[in-house]
Amino acid sequence: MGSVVLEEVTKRFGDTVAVDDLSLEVRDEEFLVLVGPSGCGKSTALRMIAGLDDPTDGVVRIDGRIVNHVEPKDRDVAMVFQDYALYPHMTVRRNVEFPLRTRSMDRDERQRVVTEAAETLGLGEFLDRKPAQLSGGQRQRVALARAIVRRPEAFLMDEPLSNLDAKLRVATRTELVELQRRLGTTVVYVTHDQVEAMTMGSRIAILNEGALEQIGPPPEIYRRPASVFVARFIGSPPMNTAAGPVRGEPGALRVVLPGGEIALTPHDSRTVAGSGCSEIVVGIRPEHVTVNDAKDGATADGAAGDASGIPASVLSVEALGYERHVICRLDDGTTMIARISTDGPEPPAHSAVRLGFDTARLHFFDPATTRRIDG
Amino acid sequence: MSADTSALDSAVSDVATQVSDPVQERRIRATRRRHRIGVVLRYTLLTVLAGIVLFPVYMTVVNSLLPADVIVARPPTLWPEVREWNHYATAWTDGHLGLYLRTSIIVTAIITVGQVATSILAAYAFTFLDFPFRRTIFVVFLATLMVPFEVTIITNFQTISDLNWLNSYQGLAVPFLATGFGAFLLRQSFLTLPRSLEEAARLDGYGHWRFLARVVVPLSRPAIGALAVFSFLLAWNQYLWPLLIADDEQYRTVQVGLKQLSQSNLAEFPITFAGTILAALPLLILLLVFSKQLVRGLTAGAVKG
Amino acid sequence: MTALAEPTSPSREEIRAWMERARRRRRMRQSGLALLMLSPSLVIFAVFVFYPFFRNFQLAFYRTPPFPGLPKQWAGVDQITDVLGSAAFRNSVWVTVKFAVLTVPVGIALGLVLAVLAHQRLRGITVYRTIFSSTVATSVAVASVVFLTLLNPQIGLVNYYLGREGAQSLLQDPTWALPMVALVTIWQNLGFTFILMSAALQAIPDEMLEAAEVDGAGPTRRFLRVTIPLLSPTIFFAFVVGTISAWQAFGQIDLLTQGGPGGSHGATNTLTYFVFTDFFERQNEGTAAVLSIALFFIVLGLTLLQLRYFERRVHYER
Repeated sequence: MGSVVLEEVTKRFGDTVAVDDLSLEVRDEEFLVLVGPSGCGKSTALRMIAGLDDPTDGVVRIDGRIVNHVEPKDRDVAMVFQDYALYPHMTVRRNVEFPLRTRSMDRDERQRVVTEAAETLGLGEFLDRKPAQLSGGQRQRVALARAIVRRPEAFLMDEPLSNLDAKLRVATRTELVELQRRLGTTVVYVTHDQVEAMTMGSRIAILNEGALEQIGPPPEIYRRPASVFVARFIGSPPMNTAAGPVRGEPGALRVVLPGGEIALTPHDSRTVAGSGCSEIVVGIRPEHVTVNDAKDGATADGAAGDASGIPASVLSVEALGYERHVICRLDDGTTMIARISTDGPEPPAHSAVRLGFDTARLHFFDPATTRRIDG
Repeated sequence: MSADTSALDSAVSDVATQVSDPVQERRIRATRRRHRIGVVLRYTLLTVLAGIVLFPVYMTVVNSLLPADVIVARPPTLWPEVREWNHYATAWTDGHLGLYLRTSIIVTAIITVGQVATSILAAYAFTFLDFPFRRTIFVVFLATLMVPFEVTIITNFQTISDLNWLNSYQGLAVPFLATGFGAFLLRQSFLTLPRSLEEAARLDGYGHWRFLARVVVPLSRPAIGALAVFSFLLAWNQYLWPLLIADDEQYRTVQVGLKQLSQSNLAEFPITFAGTILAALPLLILLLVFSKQLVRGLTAGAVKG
Repeated sequence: MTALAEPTSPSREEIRAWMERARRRRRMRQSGLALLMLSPSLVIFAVFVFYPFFRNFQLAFYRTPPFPGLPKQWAGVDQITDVLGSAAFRNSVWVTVKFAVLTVPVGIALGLVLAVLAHQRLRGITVYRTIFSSTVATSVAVASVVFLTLLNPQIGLVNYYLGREGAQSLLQDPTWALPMVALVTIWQNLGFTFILMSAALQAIPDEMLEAAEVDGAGPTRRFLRVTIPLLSPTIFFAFVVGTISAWQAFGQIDLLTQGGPGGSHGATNTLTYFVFTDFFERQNEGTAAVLSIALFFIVLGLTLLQLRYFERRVHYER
């Protein structure tokens, strides 16, 4: 099993830059998820690892070996395609053994490997069916089985779950991770779904417009997003962000937002002061926002709150059963979402409220570079 | 069927009686009657038209069975009281129908297989390979569709003659071994295959030939079948070219052989008719067996393919 | 292979050079394979389509000597203007136009009528469909011989039932020869037209007709307002294909009338048949080449018409 390394890889199609100076390392036996919105270059990055696209610049290594010039078949990687790429005229058995038929492997050995892979994925009874006679989930397993039998250095998966219905997708997520652990292989997994990324990846790499925004384990990405893009891409509902000028003494800064101010903690004050920014982007996750009554300051959950905070008006409330999302608008039109428990009365639409922020949980970003400001 | 309807009829009238509304009852009956008359009318019309379409062939079958003197007798005989089946045997041997059919089958088989093979190869190159002047060469292929074969017979005849290929299978078949239409039709079909199939095969170490044989051809069978039927029909029905190229009995195709037969004298007319039927039989059998592919082949150019 | 012998850390330049080499190798391999796959077709096209096609233009400028062996004489455009201005050429173009007018509209109308009649749920309808499409199994030669006997003055039914016993065959009659050839052609093409129209009818979604019915349109109105417009692309296709094949008509002429009655100004001397006789009977490759070129341009015009229709269809569908 091997590692996959991209060093300063760039891919241009004509004038458009699909992948921009991308460097990342997928460690041996790691489950790395490449995630980003459509068109961010994640699939192109995967295809360059597979050898289906040539990088315009940079180095691709698999298991330490430079493979830029190596044909796809000699890179020892297996790919699972979004549409599974099953051959409709072949039975499941023929599909699974397809990659083995180009190798010198005797019939019995081949049968054994195919049967083993089918057992692993619970396809034993379907071996003599054609893909058209299988459900979406079963087809997806056949595609996996076909990748497994090659025992490759790395699995490359291009949105393999996107054609499954929502329920099946959740179940398959767990199974895939379990499978990867059992086989102990390296997996590079491409998806646009941040929930998939967060739940499956041992590390995730977030791409935006061809460039790497951040790479790291999911909790770290959630707690310390490296840029406004990551902050808003990971997490649902996304992190609230608002820009405002910085005021006050170096030890006790305040950020002026439309309709009010937020006082920063001494620690944050030092951090922000250190950055030298006179204006700053403040980010706060919806779960760290409270919705308080505009007059008495009681929170929407019924607890007593403070009458300070930023005035806002309620646009709507989405009740999900286990929690509620209160969608508010600040004076200047900025939307802010608060995630609150289901206890207490619901703030009526169009009512005036005050939003309270857990100031220990603020994130700061440089408005010029959109990068995180850290102490 | 009639039992069904009458049962239904009485059921309807039962209901009508129960309702005891004579006007209603009459109206229901009238509708039923009108409907039945409509069906009878439609069958009559269809049968008359089918009769007209089939009549020429029917008369040929009748005449093929009659002795020559009965054919000449007036009024014409419309139903064969005597049936001389041996005319067919005579047509097969003395009329050389066996020989002609053999040549036709050989030449048609060569052309069909050849056209399908060259079209598959060309369509594969146009769909899955990257090479210089791909567009230009494709336009060249399409340009051949603009040149009717009739326009090229002068030089083609001289070429075949210079090659000493007059009266030979290669002379009859070689000019037709490639078709721009076939390449175009199959390319359209190959383009519908998902790109991921090719990429998966490439990752698994399949070269172009193996990908073509194991994946592309099996998955394009409907289009290839349609092309095969189309090529077969065109090759089988050729008349002008075999007339020019082969005047030797040995290399005469059925179509040209029919000309020979049709110029025989009166006494041999039944043989001519039997020969005509024999000449039409292979295609008729093909039509009945492969009607689905035939329809697809014939309509490939017209209804969305 | 280079990968195995790679130095500890190759420069970007080196890697790019490897890739370039790999890419060039891939392109070379693909180009070679493409050449291999295309060459059978290209060789056939070069020898049997393009060479003879362009040679027509050369032949057209030389007069063919009256006796083989004598040198060809440069005639310039004289031969071309001679042939195109000749009464025989004008006759054959006119005959072919008449032939197309006689065969195409009637053939399409008949095919359409049969297709509509056979497009209903009746028991045993497949039998009728098979019968109506059966004439695709007949070649031009089979159809011609079948009718040749029906029209035969001694044994044929036509003269007998028309009360023309003892008279010549209609094929020898200057007025009736062309209509008779057209009749044979229509009959032989009927199966194809029927199949074409049936396929187009089946492609019309039932909902469209049902929607019209709900809107209160009767059967006649439904046919004229819904069915015919939806069939019009197919009808147009059949029209163009039929017209092109009328210009290529040969077998039925050769078997039924040999271009006559009336020699080289014959009542059934269509353009393709004229090319054939000019070359193979009068051995005049020069004038035959001019006729071939004329035939080419006429068919080209019709083909371009057809292409334009396809373009438009693509627009309609996407």
